[in-house]
Amino acid sequence: MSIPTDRSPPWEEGRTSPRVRSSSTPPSGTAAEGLTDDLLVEVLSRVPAKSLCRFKCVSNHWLSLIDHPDHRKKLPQALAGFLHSSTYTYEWRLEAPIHFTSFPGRRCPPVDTSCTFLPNSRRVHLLDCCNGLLLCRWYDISSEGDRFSYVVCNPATTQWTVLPGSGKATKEVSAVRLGFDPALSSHFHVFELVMDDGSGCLLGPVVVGVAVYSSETRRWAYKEKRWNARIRLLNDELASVFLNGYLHFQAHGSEVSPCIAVLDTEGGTWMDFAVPDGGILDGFIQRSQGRLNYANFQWYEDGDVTRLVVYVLDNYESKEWILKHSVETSCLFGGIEYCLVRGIDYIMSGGFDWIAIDPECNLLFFTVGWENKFMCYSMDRRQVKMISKLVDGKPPYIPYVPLYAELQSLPN
Amino acid sequence: MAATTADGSKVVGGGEKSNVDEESKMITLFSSDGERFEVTQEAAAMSQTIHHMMEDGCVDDEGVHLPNVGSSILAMVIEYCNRHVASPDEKEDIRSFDAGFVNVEHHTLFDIIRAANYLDVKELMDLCCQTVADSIKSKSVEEIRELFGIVNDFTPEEEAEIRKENQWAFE
Repeated sequence: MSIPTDRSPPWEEGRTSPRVRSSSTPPSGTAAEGLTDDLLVEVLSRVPAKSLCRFKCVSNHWLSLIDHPDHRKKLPQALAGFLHSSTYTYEWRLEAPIHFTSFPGRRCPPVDTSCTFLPNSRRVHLLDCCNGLLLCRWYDISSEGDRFSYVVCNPATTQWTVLPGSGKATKEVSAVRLGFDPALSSHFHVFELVMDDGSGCLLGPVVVGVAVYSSETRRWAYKEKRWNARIRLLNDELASVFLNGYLHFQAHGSEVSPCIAVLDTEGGTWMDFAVPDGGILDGFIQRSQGRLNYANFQWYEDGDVTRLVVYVLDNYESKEWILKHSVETSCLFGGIEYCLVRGIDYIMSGGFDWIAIDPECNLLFFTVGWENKFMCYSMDRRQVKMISKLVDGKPPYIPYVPLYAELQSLPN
Repeated sequence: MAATTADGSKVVGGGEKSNVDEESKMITLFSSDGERFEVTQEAAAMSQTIHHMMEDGCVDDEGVHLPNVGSSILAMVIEYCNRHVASPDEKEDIRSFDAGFVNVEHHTLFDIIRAANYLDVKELMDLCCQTVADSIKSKSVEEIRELFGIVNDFTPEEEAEIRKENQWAFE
């Protein structure tokens, strides 16, 4: 017969002081040695989300502690799933109806990813998602036609805020992205990549500057570009990455070679560096395990063998990529040939679309085939499995990690 | 090296502070088991609890009784505070001091966390909680149970179901 575990003290309501009160009753099975619940949550808030999911199996008490709504505000959350719509927008943008599909084993309570909590909405387009915050175009009832405001919101807490206009016309802006990293700051930034009219270059419009909004100053600041190369957005259907305080996006640099363009929130750092050679598709960049990851397919042996490769950026000084993983597509796709060239998936067995690389471990999520099979590949175990078929899914697929903390930068 | 100043209070330290400021005044702390500790007010003020008591004028000549902190742990907390106020700018030294400081058994770390929470010493809380977090993050479920003295109260079916639901976290 098992010994009952300690009773948790009643949750303290409205506790605002950073100092945590300990209960006077000793915790756990071993009398004075353990930690009270509140102190245990302090420790667990510094443990990766993947470990927390494992620790749910420790005991009923730990399970209720980790899943408790009050503690979710402090405890790191795992990648819960991804957002997508049923219409193909040819841009990194989702239009209603917005669906949320969860990853296996990552239950999270229902979250209003369609942002119905935004008042007076005619239409809401989702433009980007970063660490639990959404950047949207909000067409409210009082505005006419195509006039919109930017809104940044957190669907898990229903907090939101409207941004002032940047002063840049929509047609000047090639992409707009959100940068938010709660580990670095409770403030967020929005980046508008501003381009010229394209007349100066045969290859299309070049990014001439970036307008950056800071939730701390509540203002936009325009920074003229300081990259050495002429940077053109590679295509505006691709994910960007906000990591180490820098926005990373895929671009064409000098000599039409694909590269990663990087800038910081202050407009003080501008970098660009080449991506690993030989990629067949546009690469896929993601933040995983604290580093910038780049995934793509490559041909080997004169095109006989195709491999999925994943590289990790070693550091920004050397700009070197380290090959983290490589697997033949015949193993990955079980011998079926999928069309890896974007947009031509009516031949062969259908196409391929990236979804996400897990931020904490070596799992890769993607869809393949006509039936839009939603797959999970474990790089560590070299095993792939099908999770489901996405009936209504169309790219882009935008990964989502819920954020339960309340932010001052979202006053509503 | 101690010198007695005009008002009779002792100045302790490297002699760099030549004037008698508030910081060099001492305060007495009593642990739960009655042991007495003399600490500079500056070091004691790292504890927000004690700092507020000093500000509110609640500290009398006798000193502060800390019924929740035993002498061995209080000695460690004081050592931490003394070190951190002594040379706050020498980052390398402090880092290596901190690393050595937390190189103790888990149950001692838990005791320090409880004391740091009660005394509200934020940096010490952060340091110790992060140390425990780093040491447990890769542990298996069984190792966690052993470390925290927890008995598994899931039925075999319940446990199997939770493991299956969270399978990705085990791989």
